[in-house]
Amino acid sequence: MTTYIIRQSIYAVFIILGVLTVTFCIIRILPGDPTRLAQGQRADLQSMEALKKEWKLDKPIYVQYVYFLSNAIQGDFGRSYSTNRPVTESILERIPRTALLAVSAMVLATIIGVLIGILSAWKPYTLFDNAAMVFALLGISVPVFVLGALFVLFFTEKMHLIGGTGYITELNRVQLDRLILPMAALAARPLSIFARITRSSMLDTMSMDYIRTARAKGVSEQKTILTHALRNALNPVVTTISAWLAATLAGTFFIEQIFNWPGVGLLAFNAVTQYDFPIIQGVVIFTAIIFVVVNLIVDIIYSFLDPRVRLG
Amino acid sequence: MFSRTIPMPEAVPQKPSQSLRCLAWKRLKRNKLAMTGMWIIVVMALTAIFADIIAPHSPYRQIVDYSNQNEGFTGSVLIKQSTGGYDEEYIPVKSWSLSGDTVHYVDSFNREQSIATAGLVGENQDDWYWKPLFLLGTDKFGRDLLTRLIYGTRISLGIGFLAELIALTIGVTFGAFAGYFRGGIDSAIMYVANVVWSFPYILLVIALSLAIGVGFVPTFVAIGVASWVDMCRIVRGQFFSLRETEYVEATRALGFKAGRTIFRHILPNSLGPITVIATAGFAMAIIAEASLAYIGIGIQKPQPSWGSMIFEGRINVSAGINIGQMIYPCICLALAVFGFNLFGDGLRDALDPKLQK
Repeated sequence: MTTYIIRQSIYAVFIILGVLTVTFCIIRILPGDPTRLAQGQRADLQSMEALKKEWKLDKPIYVQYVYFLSNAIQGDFGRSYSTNRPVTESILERIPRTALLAVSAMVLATIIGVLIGILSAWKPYTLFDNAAMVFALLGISVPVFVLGALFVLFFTEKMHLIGGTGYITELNRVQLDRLILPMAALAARPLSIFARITRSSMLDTMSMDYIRTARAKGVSEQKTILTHALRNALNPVVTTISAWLAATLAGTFFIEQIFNWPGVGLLAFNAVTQYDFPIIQGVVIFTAIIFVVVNLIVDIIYSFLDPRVRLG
Repeated sequence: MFSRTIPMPEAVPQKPSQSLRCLAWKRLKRNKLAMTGMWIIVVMALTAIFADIIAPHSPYRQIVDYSNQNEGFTGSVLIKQSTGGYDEEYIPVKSWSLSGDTVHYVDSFNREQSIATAGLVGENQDDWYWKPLFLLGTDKFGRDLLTRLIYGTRISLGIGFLAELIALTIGVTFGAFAGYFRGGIDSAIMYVANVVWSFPYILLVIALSLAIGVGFVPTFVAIGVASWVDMCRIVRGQFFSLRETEYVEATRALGFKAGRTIFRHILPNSLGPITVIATAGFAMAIIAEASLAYIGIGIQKPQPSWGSMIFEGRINVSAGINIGQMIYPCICLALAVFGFNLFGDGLRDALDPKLQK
């Protein structure tokens, strides 16, 4: 068990190293002189040279790489070109808002998605099942920014149901009605995927011998599904949910721009339009690390639940 | 002499045997949803290919006086000859009359103007007077929305196709090598795949596209390079199981080289799952293209991309001008992706031996 955890952790560290390396490579091939971008059009040559020295851009590429890695390990991803604040600080202060959005969307998607999946698998090929699956496919097909834009159009501009977009705190309490639309728009895609995965996994499990045995010995249908089938069927669902946690964080990129939600996504969106590369780099690395860490945790939890994982 | 004749079996008229591909196609044809998806793809592909013929207008022609018109708007323009290498000029008129060689007209600002017919295009009235119909209205520059949607299909499917081609090439090659050779090669390839997999897809596409640049070619390259991991994993899995089969063992016994076994024998047998993943990948690539254009770093203006049309339409909606500008590209985009997903789902079911009845 301990060996398994250590092995997975070391592998995760190597993956993060790979993530940093790929990001470093992308940054290297970016067009433009970073010192010029950082200081703007009117920068004088002396200060640009000074910055070049400070960032070790005059050194060979492997020195730059080591410098980049050692900074990254210390959590230093440079300063934003536009605000000149440390990237890590800008991201960290916005993480709670994005986390509120992403986690609530994930909770919504998980509860409703899994529920729809179970109901669909309970009576497959019925009207409910077919309708649910077509809707789920539609949910996968509509890009998140399209859904967000349509939500704004119909719910706030046309029907005035919800008081508009934005993130407003009154007495330090978030106005939760502003959370509903972005949360729903963000949840649509993972919800559809969870519903589909749950359904197919349930159908697979329901055709297994031990389910037939349970039915044969007279266990009620509800109990068969909820206690016998569901427990095994949920394994792939949990994997998918964990994989989607980081993807949902990335999905806030569009949703926060559309709903004017000042989280990490909006920070990144504005950074892209302003070519503020340190911020983009920081957000990409942060999200990737969250993804790796979440997956590592899920892997370890799995190895407790299912010994086949760590032995196989 | 003792002889024994072996009774020959009478020639029984045999049904031609059905290959898996044939069976899958039969099952696919019965699946209404999959067929709907296929037709959506076919119609969109034809639209993309024949955009020049279908489109009622030019996607770039701006008649600024006709900006933000609603559906079904019919204009009334005089077409002036091009001067100094510029395009023909379209003069919107409220009313006009012809007297001799001069056309008197009232322009959009209620000013009375006149122009000699010699300065107009062509010989007679049919050549230089035009009542353009804007079926879905116009955008803020007075360009025909329907035309831009039609050309948008070309951008969307074109980039989707080329990006998927790149993803397919990288994914299949890596997956085949990892699955066939296993060991160190497998570990190395899967390490790279896992690293790429750790990046959130859309952020990786954005970062790559910032690095490579904007426009048509950089966009599909960025999307293709970011989306090969799924394909790699599926192909690897296929090769893992297929390399243990008897026929692959036979190729080894015959002394075939690895390349021949991989590409001539194993790969054709994994075409089913590859097609399924490629269809889903196509859908993802279409979304990615639209996302990049929405942010403003993919296809650049004035080229029509559904993504950038949605972004511009959104600004209009908040301003209370016609909402079609946002809704129609939304519908096109969702429909295209839906079509590919429907077809891909049907294909997966058709190829799944477990679902054979």
